[in-house]
Amino acid sequence: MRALVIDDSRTMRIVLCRQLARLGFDVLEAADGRQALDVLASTGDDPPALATVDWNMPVMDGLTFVQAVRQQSQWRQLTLVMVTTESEHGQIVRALAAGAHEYLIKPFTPEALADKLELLGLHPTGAVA
Amino acid sequence: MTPAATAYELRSADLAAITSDVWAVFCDVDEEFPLLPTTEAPADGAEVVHASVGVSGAWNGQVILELTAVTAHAATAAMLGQQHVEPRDMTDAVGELVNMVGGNIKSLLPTPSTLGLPVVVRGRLLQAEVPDAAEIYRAELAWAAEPLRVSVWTSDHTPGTNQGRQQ
Repeated sequence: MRALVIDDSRTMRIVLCRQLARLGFDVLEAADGRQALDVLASTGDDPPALATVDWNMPVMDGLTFVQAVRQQSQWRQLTLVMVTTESEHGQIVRALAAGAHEYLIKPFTPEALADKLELLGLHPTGAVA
Repeated sequence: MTPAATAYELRSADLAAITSDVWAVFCDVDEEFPLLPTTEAPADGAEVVHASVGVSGAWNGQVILELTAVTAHAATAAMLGQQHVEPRDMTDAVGELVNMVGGNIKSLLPTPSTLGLPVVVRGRLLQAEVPDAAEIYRAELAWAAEPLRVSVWTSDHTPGTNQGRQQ
């Protein structure tokens, strides 16, 4: 099972890629929403099952990315998790209304990420204990 | 100094609590060195890293994180899971730290508002100043005996908003 990590911070991409790899995901990366759309397009008819999406990014922010993904029928199976410091209610409502499935507030522990994916029914094989 | 009035939920203790939460998850995963209150300042000549992120909208201001280069290096190494740290790694990691601290502080401020992108600079004993703004909160902390400061500045000077620094 593949996951796409979208974050303008290289540090956060490394942190999330490490955590997702330990859960058994093969991980792709993108530094902003525009780059993420290109990565998704390059996967053809085998897109990732999951994308973690930072909210606050240059070029194309997370909310715009979610809206763009939801306009494309070939990516309708893609589970979108917003990863954000934007913990206020209004922001979360906007993300869910745009088509995100869940959200994770930074800072988050590896266990919180695993619990969230469990909740979403994402069970990759090959998890590292 | 006590604020003239409290127009929103932010308290000085929130700065320390939010920063401690961020540190515990990303920088102190082995729970060896919790962030502690301190009165220590960086030593003369110490290289320091300043990171800031702006909030604009219903509340306008800056959240600033100041730490020694030693602390910035250690925090970056912990986040990346590697000892070798390039300067650009440190800039990115400290930018992400202030982004997380600022984003969580923002959630306690009036809405709607927007969080900007972080800015990180390095130098020797820089003194953070925000033009036409007042520092309203500051938390002086230490991580593994190295000082670290978080402050909140606002350019809103309307009566009824928090004014005057709390520590």
